[in-house]
Amino acid sequence: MKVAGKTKVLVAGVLIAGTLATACSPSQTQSAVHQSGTTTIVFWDLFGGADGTTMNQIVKKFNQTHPSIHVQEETQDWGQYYTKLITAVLGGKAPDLAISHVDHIGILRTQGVIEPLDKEAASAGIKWSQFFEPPMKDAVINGKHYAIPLDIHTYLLFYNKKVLQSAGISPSQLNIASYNDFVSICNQVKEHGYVPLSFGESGWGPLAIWETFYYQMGGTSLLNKAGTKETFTDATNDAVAIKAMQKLYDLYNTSHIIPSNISNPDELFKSGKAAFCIEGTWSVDDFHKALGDQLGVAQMPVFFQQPAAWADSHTFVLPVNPNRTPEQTKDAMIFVKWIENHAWMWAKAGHIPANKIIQNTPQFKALPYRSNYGSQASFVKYFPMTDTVWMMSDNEILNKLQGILLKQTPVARGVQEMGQILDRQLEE
Amino acid sequence: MQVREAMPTSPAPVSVRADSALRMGRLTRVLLYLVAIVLSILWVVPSLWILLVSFKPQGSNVLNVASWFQAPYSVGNYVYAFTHAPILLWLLNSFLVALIVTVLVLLLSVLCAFPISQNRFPGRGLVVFLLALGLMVPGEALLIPFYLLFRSLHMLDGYGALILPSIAVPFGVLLVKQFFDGLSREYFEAAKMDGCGVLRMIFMIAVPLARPALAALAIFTFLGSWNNFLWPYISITSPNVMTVPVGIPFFNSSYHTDYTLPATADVIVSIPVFIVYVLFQRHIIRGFAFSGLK
Amino acid sequence: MVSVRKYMPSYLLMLPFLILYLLFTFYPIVRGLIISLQKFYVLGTKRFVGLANYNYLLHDSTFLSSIWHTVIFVVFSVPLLVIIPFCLALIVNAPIKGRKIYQAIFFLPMILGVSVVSSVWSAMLGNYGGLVDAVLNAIGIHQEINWTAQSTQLAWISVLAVTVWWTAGFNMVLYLAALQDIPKELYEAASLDGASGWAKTCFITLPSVKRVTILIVFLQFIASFNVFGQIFLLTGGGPAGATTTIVSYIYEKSFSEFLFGPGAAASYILFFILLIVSLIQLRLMSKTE
Repeated sequence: MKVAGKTKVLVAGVLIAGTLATACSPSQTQSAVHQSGTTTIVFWDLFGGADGTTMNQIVKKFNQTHPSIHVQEETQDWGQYYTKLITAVLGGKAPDLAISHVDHIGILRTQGVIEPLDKEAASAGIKWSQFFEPPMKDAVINGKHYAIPLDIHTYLLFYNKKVLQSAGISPSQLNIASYNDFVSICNQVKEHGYVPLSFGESGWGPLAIWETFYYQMGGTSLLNKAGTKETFTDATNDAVAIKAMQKLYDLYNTSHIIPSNISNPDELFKSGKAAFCIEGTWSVDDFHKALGDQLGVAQMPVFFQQPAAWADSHTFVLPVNPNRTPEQTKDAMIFVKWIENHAWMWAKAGHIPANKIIQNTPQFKALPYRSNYGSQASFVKYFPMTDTVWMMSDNEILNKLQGILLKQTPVARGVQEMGQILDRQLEE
Repeated sequence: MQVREAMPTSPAPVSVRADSALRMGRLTRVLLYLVAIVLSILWVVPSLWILLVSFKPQGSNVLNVASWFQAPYSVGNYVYAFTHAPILLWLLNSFLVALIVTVLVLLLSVLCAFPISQNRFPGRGLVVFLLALGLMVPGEALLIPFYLLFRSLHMLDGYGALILPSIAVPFGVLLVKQFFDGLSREYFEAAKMDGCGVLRMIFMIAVPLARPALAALAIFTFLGSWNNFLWPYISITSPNVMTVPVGIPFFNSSYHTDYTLPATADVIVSIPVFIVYVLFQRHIIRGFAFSGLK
Repeated sequence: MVSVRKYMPSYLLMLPFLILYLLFTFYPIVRGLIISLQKFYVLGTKRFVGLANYNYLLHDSTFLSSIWHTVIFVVFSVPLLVIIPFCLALIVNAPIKGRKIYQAIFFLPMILGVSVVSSVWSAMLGNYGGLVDAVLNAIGIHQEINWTAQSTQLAWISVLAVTVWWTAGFNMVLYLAALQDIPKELYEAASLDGASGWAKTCFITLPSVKRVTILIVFLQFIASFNVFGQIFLLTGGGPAGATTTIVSYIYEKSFSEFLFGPGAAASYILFFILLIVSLIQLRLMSKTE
């Protein structure tokens, strides 16, 4: 090695050796070697937001209390989660247990990614009757259970009391009875130099607001019963769908309640510069940590005729994995059952546990803000489940929607085109 | 392509510079310093900012310029990152994969290039044609067949998937062949007379002579492997097999709403590479200079 | 057969490479072509459908726009990544103090890798907290611009800026190597003739780097056509799909929708575009020789 002076090679060597040594020392990695007799359960989830930390703690707690089982949690990117899950299953490297949105299991089943878990759930003592009805509706396909619901998560209206006060609005008398009410409050906030509503412009968020508006205006199901055709551009719904989109569009482009394209709405709200933030239940704890008593939490206001709010459920599914031993399956189910029984821990992040019995536990009752939004579970609206399309991560639909908000496509035409895209995809 | 007109460069020392000849006016000199400094600042500020942000406590306010230079600072992010993700393992995987790929590319290229360069065996034309064809195919166009191939080999999500697609590259063979072509035949004739075997001939005579070309090939290959993103991103799903380019987005996906932890991971993986780069900078530049790519 | 035996050592030497090459390059090329002519389900049936996948692509507005986006990226990135690296190389080749340091600084991003680069820049380019907007605020421009997602133009500017920051150092080093190879006698002779620094740059330096420029243009063309990582990680193809390139499309079709037929067909179209571009450039290169 004349080329590279001896000292340099030495330094480089030490560096690499050092990395090697630290990289391989068990304390540094999550996947440390465990003593024999423990089964390892590889568990995939998509909790990248504030609830990620909560799930970390739950898994840690479980591992501490169950020395014979080691759950190895691997969090994948939300946007790429299902891609990764399918790739892993097809590649023979499936996880042992995974999280799926309940309205996505139709696709996973068609693609051969998940298997029914009736038997496994029964032997673990899961009682289907204990769950809320909305997530259970989608969890069963052709009489077989494919998913064990974990939570109901929905959009809430968060507000910053201090900001509202300094804008001359009394937080205790905050009354949002209509869309126009909300806009005028926001305008007042804006005059005082605050951001009225912290909300993103890309991704699925705007789609969920559109869906909320659509149902609040009395729109009927987005798809026909068979799930083969969209129905929001039908004669009965067309006007509603377009009006809902117009009202969403106005928030960005007419009343400017939402500043154009905030790259990180959560951070902005947490920094105390914004009055309102529409975010999921998963942010309750995170926001509370950042804002303390300044934080106010309200259920989704009735902007239009009737209450409705976008919602979804995280569920446990069993990926198709020929390498999973019966023992691993059993232990995975023990883990699931344990979380279900301790779902108040998961509720700490803000979610509503899917298991009704948790509502009566003292730990759940002690959580802050719950009374403000507990009743929202009665009017939640899920996206339709199909075998091929999940609107929440459908890039074509989301691009079209963003195109409308960015003024690239007129509102009415954009809604029509969203319908056409959806129809074509349902046909494929 | 470029390899075709490559010539064996006489290894003139690069460090000899034409300073006196490049003498310039005062104004030009001032201007040059100014431009150099401004550009350097532009180039270095992102890295420095990330370094700074990585020392801000998790979730703390980094929303304005003033907050960057005010306490609190902490090393908490580093502790957290090290204990919550196998970042060093990713670094090690990247190093090992790049190293193995580089060594294998050099070895295979030398072995394959030597006969093509020195012998007129039947089928030589076909081999050269196949190599030239492969030169045009971007790896990005082969993702689906790669995926299916490694799936049937049961090698997805493993080191095999990271290494194998990158080691049989026609670029390397053609580059080395070009260099061998330029070597005087007398070397080898003489060696043959002495009863020197072909492997001895390659490793004792050809390789030492071709060192500049091999160094260039090694640098290109190492950098290419180090930066390889798409195929590893598709094929690797287990955190323990990930390389840095796959691991960083994987890590970041858990911290959507935070700047500080992703910044910390960025710094951790960059520092060792930076040190190695600074140590070998001269050789990297020289490698390019001798690459025969001119 | 005598010659085959005579050349046996040659064949044996080539064997390891050729086996791997056939398996990991040539076989995938052929397999890809076959899949592009099939309706292909990973876990199910495959059926020969002729050119139906290609037909599908030609009628898919997302694919057609992805080609257009890629062309836009190539048209802007190639000149930028020739001119800027050349200027950088001139700077670090000039007899100024600390040129080694400048050189290290300009090359540094290249070794960080696409993920770190994108991660750093998405933090820089976001609004309400990103470095760029914070600096703008600090100097009195009170705008909160979300560079990567607000508008098509800004998203492209962001992608180009990041690409330049990331890869300019590589081309700079190629230029630097060529600059350091220019015989200093040329400059000395010119100095004796009283040529100014600028004149020397124009009449000696520029002609001397012609060959390396052609090479850089060639390599940059290929790299730019295959652009993916920084776009995927920075803009995710947005806003509203405006930065979706051919490779992003291939990725989406193949590994998000798992439509391998159209995915393979799109790969082949990319392959052919690159082939044609390469052949044209080779033609031009041999002409300039």
